[in-house]
Amino acid sequence: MSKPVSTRKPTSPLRDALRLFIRNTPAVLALLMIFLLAAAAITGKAFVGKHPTEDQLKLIEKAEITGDTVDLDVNTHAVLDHTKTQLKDTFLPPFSTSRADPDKFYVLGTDDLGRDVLARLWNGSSISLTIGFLAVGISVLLGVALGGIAGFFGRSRVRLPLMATLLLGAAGGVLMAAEIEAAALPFLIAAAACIVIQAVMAVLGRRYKAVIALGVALLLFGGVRLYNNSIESGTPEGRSYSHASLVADESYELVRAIRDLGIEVKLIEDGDPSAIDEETRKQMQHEIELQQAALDLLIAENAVYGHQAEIEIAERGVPEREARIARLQALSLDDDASIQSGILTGESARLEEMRGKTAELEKAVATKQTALETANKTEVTDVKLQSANDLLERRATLRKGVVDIFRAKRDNQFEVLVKGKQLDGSTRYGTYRVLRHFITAVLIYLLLVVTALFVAADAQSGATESKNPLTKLFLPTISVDDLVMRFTEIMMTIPVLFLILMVLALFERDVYIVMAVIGLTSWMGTTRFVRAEILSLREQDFIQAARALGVSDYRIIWRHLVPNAISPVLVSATIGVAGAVLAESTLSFLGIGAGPDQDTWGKILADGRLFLHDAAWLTWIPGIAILITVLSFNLLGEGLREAFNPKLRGR
Amino acid sequence: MISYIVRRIFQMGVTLVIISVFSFLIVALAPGDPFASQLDPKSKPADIERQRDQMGYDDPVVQKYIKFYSQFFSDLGAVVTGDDTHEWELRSARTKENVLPTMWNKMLITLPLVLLTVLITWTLSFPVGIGSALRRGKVPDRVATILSYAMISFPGFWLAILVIKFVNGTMGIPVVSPYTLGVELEGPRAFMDATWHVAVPAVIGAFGGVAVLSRYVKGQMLEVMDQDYIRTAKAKGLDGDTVYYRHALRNASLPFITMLAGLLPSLFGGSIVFEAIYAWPGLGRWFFEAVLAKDLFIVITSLFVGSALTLVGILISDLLYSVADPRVKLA
Repeated sequence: MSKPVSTRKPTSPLRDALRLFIRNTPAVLALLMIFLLAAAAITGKAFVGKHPTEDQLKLIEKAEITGDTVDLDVNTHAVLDHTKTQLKDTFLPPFSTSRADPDKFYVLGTDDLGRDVLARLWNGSSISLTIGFLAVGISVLLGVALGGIAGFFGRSRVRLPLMATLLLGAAGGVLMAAEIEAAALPFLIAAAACIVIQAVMAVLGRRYKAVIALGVALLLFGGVRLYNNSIESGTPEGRSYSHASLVADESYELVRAIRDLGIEVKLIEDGDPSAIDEETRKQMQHEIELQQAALDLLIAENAVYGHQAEIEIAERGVPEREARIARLQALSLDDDASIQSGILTGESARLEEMRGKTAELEKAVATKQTALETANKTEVTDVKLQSANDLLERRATLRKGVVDIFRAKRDNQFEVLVKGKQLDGSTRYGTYRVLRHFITAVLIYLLLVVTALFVAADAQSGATESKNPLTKLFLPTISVDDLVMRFTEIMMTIPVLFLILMVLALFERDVYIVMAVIGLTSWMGTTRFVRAEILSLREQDFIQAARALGVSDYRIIWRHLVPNAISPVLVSATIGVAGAVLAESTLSFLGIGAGPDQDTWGKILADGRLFLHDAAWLTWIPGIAILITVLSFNLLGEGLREAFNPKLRGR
Repeated sequence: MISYIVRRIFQMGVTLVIISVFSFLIVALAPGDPFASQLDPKSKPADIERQRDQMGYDDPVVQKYIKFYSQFFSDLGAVVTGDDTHEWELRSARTKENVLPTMWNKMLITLPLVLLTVLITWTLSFPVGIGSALRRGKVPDRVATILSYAMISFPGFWLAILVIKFVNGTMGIPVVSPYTLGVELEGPRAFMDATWHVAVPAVIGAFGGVAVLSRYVKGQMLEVMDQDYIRTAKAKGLDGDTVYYRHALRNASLPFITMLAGLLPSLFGGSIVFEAIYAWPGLGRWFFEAVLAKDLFIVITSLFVGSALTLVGILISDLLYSVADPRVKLA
C-alpha cells in the first residue's frame, strides 16, 4: 500500500494503523492463526497420509498376487484405484466399514471409507482457504471496479448498448466458466456483436482510444473461447480428463450406494433379528453371494483392463527405444547402445510376462463369469417378509446396475487408464481443474474490467451527447451511476441463498463453481460502500486541487483515490473470506458444494455426521477447524477496521 | 406520497421483469433434460415425444417464458382472491402438485419457525446491544463482544447437528421434524413435544442473528449517545433511564425499520439450512428438494416470489421510515 500523498502529518497514517493493530492482541493472534492455517494448507501433503496400516499392508500383499496397482495414499484423487483394490475389503459382507478409532498412526482415526481424517482435514484446509480467498478476490475485483466506476464516472452518461454488452458478456462468461458452451455461445456472440457495432461507431467518430479498448475486449472474448475450447475438447488430454471425471464420479456414487445398502441390511438385522426367519436369512445369504460374485467379476475385469493399458504403453515404448539404439549405434556410442538394448530386452521380457498374466486374468474373468451365472440361476423362492423382499429387490437391481455401469464404461475406462498413466492423472487432475476454472474466471473478469473501462472512456470523451435525433432514438443513454446501481439493486433483491442453490444444482458438483457463485453473488456490498467512499472523496479539497492542477483522471484514481479507499476494502475483504469459508462449508454440508474428489471441511463434516453418535470427533474436528478459521478472519478484519479507523473503537 | 408509491411500484415492476427474465434464462438454458427423470422409461419413443410436446419442452424459450408467467399470474390471482373454483394451471411435472397452493401451505408450515426465530433474535439483541453500549469497555461489554464474535463465526449447520446430538442423544428428547413421528400424544405432552420441536431449530437459527443484530444495536446506540442533544438532556439533569430510553433509544431504533424489510423474504427462504437439517417440511426444504430434482416450475416460482417479497418489504420499510422520522422526505 502506498502512502496517501496529500496528508502532511508528522507520522504516517500507515504507521499509526500498524501501532494500533499490534496493540490489539486478539487480532494479532488471529493473524498468527491465519499464517499457521496457510502454512498448513501449503505444506499439507508433505506430512500426512503416508503411514501404511495393517489393512494397507494386506492390500499390498494382495496386489502383488493379482498384479494390480495399489494406491497407498488413500487420500489422493484416485478414486478409481481405490475402488478397484478396496471395494471388496471395504464394502462387502459382513458389512464392516473400515472406520477406525484414533491410534498412533492415524492420530485422528479414519473415516468410513478408510481415509485418514487428519490427512483429509489437512488437505481440506488448502481447498477451503483457496475457495475463501478466490471467492473474495472475485467479489472484491467486481465490487471495486463497479463501485469505482459508479463513484467516479457516475455523472457521465453512456449508451444503453454498452449495458447490453456488459450484461451479455457477464452471462456468457458465467455459463462458459460453468462449462456450458452451447448456452454461453449466443450470449458471447451477441456481446461481441455489440462491441463490433460500437467499434464501428467509434471509428466513425474518430475516438481511437475507445477503438483500442474495444479491440482488447474482443481479443479477450476470443481468448476465453479459444482457451476453453482447446482445453475442453480440442486436445486428447482434455477429453481424457473429462472421461476420468465421469468415471470417478460414477464409481464414487456406486461405492456410496453399495455401502448404504450394507448399512441398511445391518440396521435391519441389528434392529430386529427375529424379523428375519431362517429361510429369508438363507435368501439374503444367497443374494450376498451373488453380489460377491458380481463384484469379483468386476474387479477381475478391471484388472484385465489395467493390464491391457500397461501393455499398450509398453508396446508403444519399444519402437522408440529401438530407434534410440540405432541412433546411438550410428554415433558409435556402443556402450550406451548396449545398455539401452539391455533395458529393451528387460522390457520385452516384462511385456511377455504381462501378456501371460493378462491371459491368466482373462481366464479368471471367464471363471468368475461362470460362477456368477451359476449363482444367478439358483432359484429364489418366495420371501415372506415385505421389508426383506424389498431389500432383496433393490439389492438385485443394484447388482445389475453395478455390472451395467462397469461394462458400459469399459472402453472409456480403458482410454482413461492409458491416458491417465501418461499424464499421471491422479496428481495432476486436481491442479488442472483448479487452473482451468481460475484462468477462465480471470479472463472473464479482465474482459468485464476492460469493457467497463471502455464505458468510462466513452463517457469521458463526451461523444455520447449527440445532437442527432436518430442516434438519440437508437442509442439511448443512461447515467453510469444509474446503470451500475440499478444492477446492484437488482442483484440485492434476489435472495442470495436461493440463487446460489439454484445455480449450483444446475451444474456438476465442483467446489470451484461454488467459489465462482459465492464471488459473483457477494460483491454488492463492496460496490455500494466503494461508491459512497469515492463520492465523498472526490468532493474533498485535495482531489479538487489535483483537478485544478490538471492532473489526469487515471493519476487521480491511482495516486489519490485508491490509497484512501483501500482500507475499508481490505477490511471487508478479510471479513468476506470468513463469510466465503462459512458459505462454502454450508453448501458442501448440504451436499451440493464439493465434488467427489474434493475434501473440503464442510464435506468432511457431512461425512462424519453419519457417525455422530459413535465417533463424534469426525464432526467435532472439522467443525472446530471451520470455527477457528472463520473466527480468525473475523477478528483480523475487526482489528484492521479499528486500526484504520480508531474512532470506531469498541463499536 | 401517492405519486411516490406509484413510481416505486413502477420501478419494482421493471426490476421484477428483469429478474423474471434472468431467472427463467438460467433455468431454461441449463444443461440436462429436466424432464428426463419424469418420463416413464418403459414408454415408447413416440409416446415420449408426445409427452414432451404436451409439456411444451421443445418450444422456443420466449414462448415458454410467456406461457409460464401467464399461468403464474392467473394462479396468483386465484390465490389472492381466494377463488376456490379456479382451475390451477401451474403444476409441478415431478410431484403433480399445484405450485402456488402448495407454496402457500408450505409457507404456513415455515411460519412458526421463522416467527419464533425472529422473535428470539429481536428480544435478545436489543437488551444485549443496549446493555453493552451503556457499559462500554466494561466486563459485560467485553463478554458480549467476545461472545458475539464466537457466535458469528460458529458454523450454524455444525451447531445444529451438535444440538441434535445433545438434545436427542443425551437428553433423549426428539427434535427432528415438526413433531415426533409415529407417536400419538395428547394434551400437555403434545404441546411440549411441539414446543421442543420448534424451539430448538428456532434458537439455533437465531444464534447468528443475535450476534449480528446486538452489535448493530450497540453501534447505533453509541452513535446516538455521542450526539449533542443527549449531552443537553444529561446537562439539564434528566436521570439516566429517561435519557437512554426516551431520548437515545428512540432515535437509535429508527434504522431498525429498515431491517423490517428483511423479515418478509426471510419468511420465505430464511431457514433453508435449518429446515434441511431438522427435516422441517416447510418452504426452504421444499425449494431445496425442488432444486435437487431440477423441478423448474417450483424453482422459478420460488425465486420470483422471493424477489417480489423482498421488493415489497423494502417499499414498506421506506414508507414506515418516512412516517416514523418526519425529517425523511420521500422523493
